[in-house]
Amino acid sequence: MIVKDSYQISTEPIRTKRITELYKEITNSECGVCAERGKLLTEYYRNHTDEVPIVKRAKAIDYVLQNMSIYLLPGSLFAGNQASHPRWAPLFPEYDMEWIEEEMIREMPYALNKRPADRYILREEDKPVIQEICDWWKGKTITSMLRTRLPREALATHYDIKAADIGAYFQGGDGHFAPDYPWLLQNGIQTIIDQCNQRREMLDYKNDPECIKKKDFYDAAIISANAIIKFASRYAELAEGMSENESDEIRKKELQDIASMCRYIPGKAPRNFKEALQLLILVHICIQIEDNGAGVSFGRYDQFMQPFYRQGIKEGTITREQAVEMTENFFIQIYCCNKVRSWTDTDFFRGVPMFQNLTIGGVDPETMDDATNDMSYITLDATYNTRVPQPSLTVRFHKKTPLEFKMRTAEVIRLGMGIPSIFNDEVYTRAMMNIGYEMKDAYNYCIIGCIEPGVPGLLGGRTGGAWLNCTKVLEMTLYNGRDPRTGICLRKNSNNKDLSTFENYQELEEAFSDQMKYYIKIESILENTIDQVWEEMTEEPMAAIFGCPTTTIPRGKPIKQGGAKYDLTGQQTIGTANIANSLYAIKKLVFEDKKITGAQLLHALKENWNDETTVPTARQIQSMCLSVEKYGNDFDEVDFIARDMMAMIAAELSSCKNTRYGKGPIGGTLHCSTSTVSSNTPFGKVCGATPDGREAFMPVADGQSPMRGTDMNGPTAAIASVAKLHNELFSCGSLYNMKFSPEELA
Amino acid sequence: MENVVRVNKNDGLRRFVSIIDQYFAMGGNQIQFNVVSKKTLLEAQKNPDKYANLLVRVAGYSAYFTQLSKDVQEDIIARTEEKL
Repeated sequence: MIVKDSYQISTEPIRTKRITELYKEITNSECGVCAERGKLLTEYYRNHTDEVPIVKRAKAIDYVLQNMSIYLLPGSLFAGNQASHPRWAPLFPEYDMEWIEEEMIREMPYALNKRPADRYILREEDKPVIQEICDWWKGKTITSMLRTRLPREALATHYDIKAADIGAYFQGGDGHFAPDYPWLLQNGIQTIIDQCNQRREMLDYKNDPECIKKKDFYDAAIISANAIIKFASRYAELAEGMSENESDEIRKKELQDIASMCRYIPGKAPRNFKEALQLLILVHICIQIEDNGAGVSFGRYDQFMQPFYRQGIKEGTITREQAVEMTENFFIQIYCCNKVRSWTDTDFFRGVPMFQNLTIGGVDPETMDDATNDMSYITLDATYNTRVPQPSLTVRFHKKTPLEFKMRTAEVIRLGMGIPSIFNDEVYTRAMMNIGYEMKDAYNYCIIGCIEPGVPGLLGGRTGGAWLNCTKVLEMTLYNGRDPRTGICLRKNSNNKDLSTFENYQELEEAFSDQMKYYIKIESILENTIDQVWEEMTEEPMAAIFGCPTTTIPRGKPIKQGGAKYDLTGQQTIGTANIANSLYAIKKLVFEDKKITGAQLLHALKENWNDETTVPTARQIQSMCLSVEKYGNDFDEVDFIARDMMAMIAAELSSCKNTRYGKGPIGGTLHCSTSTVSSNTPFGKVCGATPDGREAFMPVADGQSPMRGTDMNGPTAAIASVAKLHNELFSCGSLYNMKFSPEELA
Repeated sequence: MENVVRVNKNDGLRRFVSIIDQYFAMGGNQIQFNVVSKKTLLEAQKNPDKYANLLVRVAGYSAYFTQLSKDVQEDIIARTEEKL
């Protein structure tokens, strides 16, 4: 019951019978592995070795879509499934089969259903099928190509030192974009086919040296566009068959509706709210079957659904309650999507997230006025009622956001699900314009994946690429470039000194900056080698035509060849708080107050604070380190170190080119975010004790949040510290986690 | 459940919204919240079946708390609980 004036709420979800049943159905579904995609894709690749990669890929995905099992969720108003069961994940052996064989066949280190977390069901009868898939892909995968192509330093950085990690992309795929739903909803898929046919006819074989590649692209695009139309008609047949045997008249009518929708869209543009959602679901599912990239997002849902909603209200064909229920039904459909990762990789992505982000609120880029509308509130209601982890909801706030909308957003946050997360238009748009976005596009941003801004339909390149373990780089700086855990030294400090021989703070900071720049270069090698291999071996026609139809089709290029309007590779920095706190602790204790020497501190770090024989003891040194002021308490000296070091890292990242630089898109570089996902835990496991007082192998800080438990001066001081960072330089987004006890929000 | 509170007044909620406004006015970029007490999280570790539907924010996403590994659970428990 919502009493608007006082913002009082009951915390019980309001669910229709349909949503109650669907919720029960999916929350009772355990995660599992579906071998169908892997099997069908392998069949196609095995029998068609003579086709060019992009056409072969289009045809292979078409073959999967026409032959995989399809089903309808009981009671659902929409069709579309990614695998044979809800919450089961398809297999993508073309990226990497080694971990699949290791874990699914040999059950090392765990059988999937015996993992300590992120467990999946794997049916006994699927194991021989999976073995066959693995046998064929051995030596042909992206991962095996990467291992022979990456330089030794990059392999050591990724596998051994773990100063950078890009494992998620060894296992594929790209994901991390928001399709051009406004365009797709307005045009329908047939428009893609027509435009590609026309452009293919017009190719100038005499004068255009690129036209053979362009023809390949148009061939693949047309196959992919037809594939989704055929896929939809399979659901039409299924729903027709089911409706014939359905005795409940209401359900019979719903099934007939699904059938007629799936005959009409996705080829033609949707005529109403329900058809629009059905198109969204089908496009989303097909993208998730083409590759297993996470972070495939929806863009500004309230903005592109509002016209359908208003039209329905005007015509009397929809009520607000129906729009809420359909949005909830849509959420549940997409929560069924899943991805299975290797055990090592799950450490970085704990809790099986899919990062299917959906954005509401913000401004209208044409008028620059508040864009909050009916659908913004309807979406909040749907999140309030469904209470499932997907989609990840983003709410954009700006100076003119109505208080009522903010309060309703706060009510949803108060439920404690961690959803939605709130974004500041003023800073996000400035950060985007600073990296090259045009103003109108910047104000039209949506969130992709976790916290990364992108423009629906205009952005290529993954927003959530490699991770940069800044804490590790700082640790190696203290040991003159050597990694104390593995003994590997790829680069000595520029001044050839370590913590026991730095003569002043400046020397330490310079050595750290130099090491950061070296590992950022290595990170760019990892990113660009992966992109190069994908461009040559796979390409993604569906991502191209749904992701960026207004640029890839005129250019005749998929995204990896430079088909997007903007192309930036997002890099995630880990350990902002740890590097700032550590640098400041050394500055204060060793160089300013001279309480201990650098040699004493280095010894205490090596011993992980366990040496009672020294004076002071290592434990005493640790308490000195812990009592130095920390980032997160509005203390300028340490906050400014965080600000300056992160500014240095962001500037260096955006000076590195990606493989699309100069090939058409605006951007063409790496850029910086402070997103961590759950990688602060595994990255902590490879970092020894640090001068901020942290024990060896414990998690580092998440995002750009203060180190947990060290922000002791209340929320106002904590936000002041975090806001001091030069956030405009994080053009790939910022992440700050804050925790409250529920009674605080009463 | 512990993290579900029946609300009678909105002073806390208003203060909460002003914290976001204040943070953004200072140049803050993004913020997300866990609204859950340490007590609830510790109880959920002990009785995972009873807390099967407890969602928490891990980083840029939410997940079911009891399905997380112990180290990630501990990380979330140890985060500072702010007072408004």
